[in-house]
Amino acid sequence: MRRSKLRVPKWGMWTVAAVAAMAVAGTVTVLPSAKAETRTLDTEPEVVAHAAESMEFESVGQMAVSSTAVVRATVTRIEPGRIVGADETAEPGEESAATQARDVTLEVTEAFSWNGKRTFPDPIKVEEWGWDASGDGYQVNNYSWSEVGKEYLFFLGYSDDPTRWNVISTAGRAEVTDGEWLVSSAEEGSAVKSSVESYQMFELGHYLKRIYDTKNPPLDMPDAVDPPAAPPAGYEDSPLPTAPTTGDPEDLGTNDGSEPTPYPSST
Amino acid sequence: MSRTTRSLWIALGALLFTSLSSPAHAGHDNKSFDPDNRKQAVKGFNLTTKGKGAMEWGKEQLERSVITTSWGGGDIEVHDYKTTGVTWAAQTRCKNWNALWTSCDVFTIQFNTAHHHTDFQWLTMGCHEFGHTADLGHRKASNDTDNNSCMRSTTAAHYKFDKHDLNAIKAGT
Repeated sequence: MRRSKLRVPKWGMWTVAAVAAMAVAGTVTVLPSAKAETRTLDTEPEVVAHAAESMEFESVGQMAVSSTAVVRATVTRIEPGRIVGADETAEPGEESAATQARDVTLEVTEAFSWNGKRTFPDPIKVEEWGWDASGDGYQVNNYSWSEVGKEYLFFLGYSDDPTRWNVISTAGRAEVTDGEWLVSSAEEGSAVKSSVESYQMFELGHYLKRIYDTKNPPLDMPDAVDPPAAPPAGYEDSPLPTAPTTGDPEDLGTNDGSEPTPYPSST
Repeated sequence: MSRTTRSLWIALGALLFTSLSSPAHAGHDNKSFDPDNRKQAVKGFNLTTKGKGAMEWGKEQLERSVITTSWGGGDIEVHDYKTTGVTWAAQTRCKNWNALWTSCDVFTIQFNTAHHHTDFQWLTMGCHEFGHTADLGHRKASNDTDNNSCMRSTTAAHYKFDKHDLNAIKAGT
């Protein structure tokens, strides 16, 4: 009887088996138990968390006037940061859905702020997200994890701690490339991403100085977007309406710009 | 064993290793999640009243699509807690992939209670996040010109799926 040409050679079986075992072992390493003290933190995000933002910017100018400062900085260190949600997310005996931030240390090389009043003589830290309860890494929307040694532009929200800042939104970072071009963290196809990436760094620097100079504001000064407000006490405990009374807008069906393929909803 | 055959086996081994161990999770587009089937069980964990309402609304919206839902664990897990220092209102991520990393077995939805949202926005957030569990990504003004989809990228959106969203769920799951 003629043997099949697809017969698996003995050494080939061992190769495939060994590779499969290595792959499974790798999975075990990145998917350990939920206990924080035993878990392994991923070194790169393995999934994108899709987030609905509270703030939307139409342009880089609008994002800048909504920020406290904009800094050009090099990442010098990254380490695990605070853990949130550890107590709120699990029933007794069940797995937590806590998340952990990444603390990113920045050496600021250039700062832009209202009338140039903000200075950053010492390293600052910003937060990025993050890891889930199993140590699996995730990035939020298009904001990939910052890398040590790379240079970025960060749009900073308000902070009362001069050494710890928050990036104003997931759209609020741009990588500065070797050619001084900018690669925005905003979502693909968004107006603010196009706006950021229409500048080279030196051009944007000039523009930021203009809009942060309150004595000579540009005529086309954009309006700031308000950050989300803190909730009043006890507000989480009032129920939502069961039947919203708001009238629905007319559904244009296939004429709302989303055709011919259904997949604009998956971009 | 010919050199060609040996090369083929080595290539097969490399392909297997890449497909199973890459953090880039081969098999999905890295932009939205395919649920592993059209029957999704939903469970909330220690939710606030607002979070519970948003979950119930999101589940109800999902029921309008080809996906059927039930209460219970194992598919869509919903949490809400305060995450300060960020401006996102809610997010969805895949917690557990299927064996081949081609679709999502268990989703985590997380509402952020650190911010004030109107009741209307809570409903929108519920619809929006459950939409992500059904393979929907974010929409823009240019492909939602009638402004009636909850899948726009911010909380300033409508609180329901539109026809296009429902068609996309049907096509994508």
